[in-house]
Amino acid sequence: MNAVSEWTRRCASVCLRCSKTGGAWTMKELSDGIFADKGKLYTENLVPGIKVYGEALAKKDGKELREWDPTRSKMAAAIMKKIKTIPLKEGSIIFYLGAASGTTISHFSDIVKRSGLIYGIEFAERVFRNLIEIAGQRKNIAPLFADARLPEKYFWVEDCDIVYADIAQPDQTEIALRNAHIFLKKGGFLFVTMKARSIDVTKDPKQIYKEEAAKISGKNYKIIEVVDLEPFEDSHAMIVAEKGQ
Amino acid sequence: MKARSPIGIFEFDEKGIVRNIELFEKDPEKAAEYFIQSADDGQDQMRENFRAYALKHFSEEDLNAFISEFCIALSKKMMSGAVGKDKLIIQASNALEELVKISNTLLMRTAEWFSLHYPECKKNNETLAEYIAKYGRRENWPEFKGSLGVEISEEDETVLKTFASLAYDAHEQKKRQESYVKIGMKKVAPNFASLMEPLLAARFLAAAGSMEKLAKMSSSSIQLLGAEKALFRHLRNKGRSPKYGMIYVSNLVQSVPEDKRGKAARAYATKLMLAARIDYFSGRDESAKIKKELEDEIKIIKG
Repeated sequence: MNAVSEWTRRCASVCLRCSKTGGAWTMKELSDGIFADKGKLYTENLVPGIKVYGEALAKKDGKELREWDPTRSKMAAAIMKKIKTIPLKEGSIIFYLGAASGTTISHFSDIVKRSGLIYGIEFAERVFRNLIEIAGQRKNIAPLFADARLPEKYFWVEDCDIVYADIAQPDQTEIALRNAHIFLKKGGFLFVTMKARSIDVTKDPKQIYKEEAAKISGKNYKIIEVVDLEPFEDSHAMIVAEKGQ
Repeated sequence: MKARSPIGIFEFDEKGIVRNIELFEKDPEKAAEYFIQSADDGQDQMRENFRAYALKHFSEEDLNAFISEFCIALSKKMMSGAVGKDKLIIQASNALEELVKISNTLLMRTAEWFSLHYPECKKNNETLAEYIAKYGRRENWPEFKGSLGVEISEEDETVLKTFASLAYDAHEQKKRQESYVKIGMKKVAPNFASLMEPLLAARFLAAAGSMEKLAKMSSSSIQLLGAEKALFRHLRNKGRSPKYGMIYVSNLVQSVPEDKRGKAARAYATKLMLAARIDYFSGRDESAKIKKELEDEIKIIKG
């Protein structure tokens, strides 16, 4: 935790360049709908007044912003680590594997707004109940109770701009690829969060990222970047790939 | 060719061009109902064209809100079948483990507390708690003949009495719950539960997470259930591999001489795996046959 706050402080000066003003509000829009201030990330709250997982709220120019915690969301961690590809924007249609209780999804929902849509696949009924609740409030999340290993069960879902996979399984890359093959538009982006520890505890994480990236690039996908998520997540990385025409 | 979608059923011709859309009602609940009932074939074209066609009938925001509500309704229908009897047994079994600890602590504390007042009493903890709850102070006990313990006031007695009855209730609940888990386990997994003590079988089920997961486990996984710590230590640091997990406490493994328990655990786990699969996938009662085979194998191992 200490390493994280250390890093956040460094981020404030180096990566987001806002510390010079010394405490004044210097909100900067990093990308469509994603704001940064003093080393913290925010998204504009789609349903003002409602918190999803106990995050902090901030007000700015009549907008309500929700803090996006990089220790709880891997996408936020990737943004803090200066990921270059952020294709999320208003109106995006996202296919999210491993939605869990909807922490990251709620921020995606803030970004894509009501004109976008997020299909969230989750197969654990305990967390799915949370997801249903959030989806009911936000109206742009379509939760699906299904096994990501069996895309035939939700074959009818439309083509999406982004496929985002966050499933801690040994065969997570294969699962993500099988889904991206069906549901990702040509030229769309595939995000896979790698949990090295769930693939093989004995191997070096860097080696695993390389092997998994090679699996993806072999199949009509171009690897754009591999972002290591240390120190926010231990032995995790985000692989970004673009689907060929 | 027909393809289902949240808003209705698309009909395509051979070239993949949409010929007709049979729209559902604009009520997500009803749409989900129709969706489940209808069949389809071939949907590749629909995924590409869905949004373009749907936007002819909906505005963008309405469409997204409708799909969201549709998915919620659909998922609720799929989820309702997902929680089975096995999940109830797992909760009861986990609760039982906690209850055993709690009731022991409470009974011991009751005995300790009451011994200040009536140190000569020589009853076991359960009966003691029952008696205190029933009679209260020592003077009311039928067999009381004088004591060296301290006198207690009315106030002390009330508190002690309610605490004792709480401890006794916890103990009674433990007994009731034990028989509930035993009976339930025999219903959910008759073959599996017949091969070992039903309460232990319930702990296996709880460790696996559900009957489905247990049935899909390899026999080596069943053998090592409960020894995860040792297993990962082995994988990481190349320590010695564990030979058994919870299976070790079963009567069958305990009955085998110590140097042959590893072998027995392996044979046992294989039969457990078979039993779990029969229970989950077919539900036939093969327990007598499996039991016989297992006993024969154990006989050979014992030598």
